[in-house]
Amino acid sequence: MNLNFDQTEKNVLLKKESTSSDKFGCKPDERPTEQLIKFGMININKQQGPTSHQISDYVKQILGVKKAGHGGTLD
Amino acid sequence: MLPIALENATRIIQIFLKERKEYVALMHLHKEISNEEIKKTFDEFTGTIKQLPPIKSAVKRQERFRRVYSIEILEIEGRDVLFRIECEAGTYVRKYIHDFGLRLNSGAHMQQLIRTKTGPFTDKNWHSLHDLKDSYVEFKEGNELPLRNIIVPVEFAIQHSKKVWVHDSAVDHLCHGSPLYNPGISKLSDNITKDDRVAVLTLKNELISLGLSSMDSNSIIKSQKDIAVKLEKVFMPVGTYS
Repeated sequence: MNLNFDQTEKNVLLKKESTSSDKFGCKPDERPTEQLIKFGMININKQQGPTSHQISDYVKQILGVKKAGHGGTLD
Repeated sequence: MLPIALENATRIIQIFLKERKEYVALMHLHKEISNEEIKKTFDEFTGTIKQLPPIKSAVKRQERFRRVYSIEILEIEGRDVLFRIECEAGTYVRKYIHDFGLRLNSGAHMQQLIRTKTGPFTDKNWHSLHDLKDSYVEFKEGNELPLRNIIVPVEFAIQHSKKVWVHDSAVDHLCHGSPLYNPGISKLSDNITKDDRVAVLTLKNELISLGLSSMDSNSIIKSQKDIAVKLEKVFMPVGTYS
């Protein structure tokens, strides 16, 4: 996974150069696991069986998170 | 497959609603049809198609056009046809198959449907609930690697979106729900047009918010005041950059 968007994308325009302080935040790839769980996504292999809503509930239970949103039912 | 967004990432899901989709579908024809005729009909059913949404659907029931980008026949066995379809969001595959059957004067129905792609999420990078459970247990026991292979940062979802990057000093204002003013911007995608949805990122590539652009890329470069991006959804908690 490469989330270094600014280096991979050629079509970026520079308005004003600046750097980000190490005091705040962190790169997505380096996000600590506890934070990743609260600011991440999971791609679940859904075939037959439980509904999207049920799967979403299981995921919440497993990870102990309060909120989760799923990418819709099949069109 | 089902992409699921967690906790503070939950609202990113809305950007998937408009993404193109890919499915593998199993169609059962109600009569024997030659392979040649099936192939010919798929050619006809590729490109722009007209569709009446099914009775049970979330949208107004009137004919609408949808794009079918590609069809790949995977297997034909008797009256069963397994195929891959890549289509615009809001294409009803069950209906597509029903109409396909009408065109052949045979009738047809859908026996199975699996989504194989939504945006960057595919059947190549999916995981079972069982693996999620196991990896969480392992994480609690001290090994975080398996879980980190399953959960991707929310930024994975916006990798193909148009983007603006802002200075550290602008981040906390955005977290509080302020629109993004031009002086706050450091870099941006060169292909933004007015009213595009853009992802607003820190210089470390963290997602702060999603918004709608008030101007195109060149105007953002030139303007020294004015609102560049109207806020839609904030993701980053207040205080992350203060």
